[in-house]
Amino acid sequence: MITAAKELEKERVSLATYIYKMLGTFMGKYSDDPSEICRFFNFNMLKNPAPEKETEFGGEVEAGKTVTIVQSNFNKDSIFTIENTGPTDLKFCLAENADEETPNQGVTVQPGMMVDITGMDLGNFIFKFFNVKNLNTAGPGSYLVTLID
Amino acid sequence: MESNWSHFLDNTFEISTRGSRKLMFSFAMDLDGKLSAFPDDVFIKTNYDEFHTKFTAYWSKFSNYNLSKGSLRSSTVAVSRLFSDLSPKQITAIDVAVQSVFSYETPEYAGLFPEGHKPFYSGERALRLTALKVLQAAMLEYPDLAEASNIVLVIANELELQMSNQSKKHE
Repeated sequence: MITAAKELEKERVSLATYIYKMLGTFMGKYSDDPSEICRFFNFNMLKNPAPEKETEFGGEVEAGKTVTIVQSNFNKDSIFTIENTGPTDLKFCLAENADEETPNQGVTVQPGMMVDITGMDLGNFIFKFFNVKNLNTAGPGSYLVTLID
Repeated sequence: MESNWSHFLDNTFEISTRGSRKLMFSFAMDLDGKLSAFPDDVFIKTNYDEFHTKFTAYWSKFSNYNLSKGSLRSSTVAVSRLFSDLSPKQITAIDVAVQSVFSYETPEYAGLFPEGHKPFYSGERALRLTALKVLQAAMLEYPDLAEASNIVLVIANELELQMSNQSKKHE
């Protein structure tokens, strides 16, 4: 999926660049009546984009602290791709409250490791807070999470 | 001063669709449909032909990505469910099979489960799988546990296979 995502992102930028160039051509053609351009380009779609169901989150967490990565409605089959990009062990869990660890639940990811897991693996998926705890009390940790809801 | 005005030159299509592959698809699909409605207009047709080629390439990658995502989801759910079943359903069944040969107090039982059930229930998945393999190897010492050993082997092999599939689909 990582390869497919990278290829798609490259293609998105390429297509967006082409449309931008095409808009320039249309602006030249319809410079006397720019409203003609709106017959083709639906700018309203870009104004209020619907929230994407897949989201990436990256961040740091101070030594020994627990922070909320995102608050959302999860389900047992929500997919979390978690990468520990820092030098410390990190524990990821679903919690009832912000910035709070849920004891005996969740998944610990070691530095440099990447795991794909479901909401079911992170504890009670009824909980709305996806939190991370830095298990090391000496230094900060960092992570990158992709959530596919 | 120049930077205050430069946003007029921003590529709004690229900026608005950052992190939203679906929006890029929807917007381009809409544009494609509108441009295709004027096949007799030379200006529109010329632009449409080139745009449509670019859009088709994006559509292909978009479909491929969604396919990959679905595949990863499927394999991730499969692995999660297998590990979920491992604790406690299957381990309890294995324990019962072992206790039918060696009771809880025997040194053989202690040798097979030196840390109890914990290594199968908690910790990293790779370590839990390793614990299963160690158990399976230890069970081979006892012919009476051959059947139970085979069950553990089947479970371990299935976990390993699904984890390997998941890993491939992640890439």
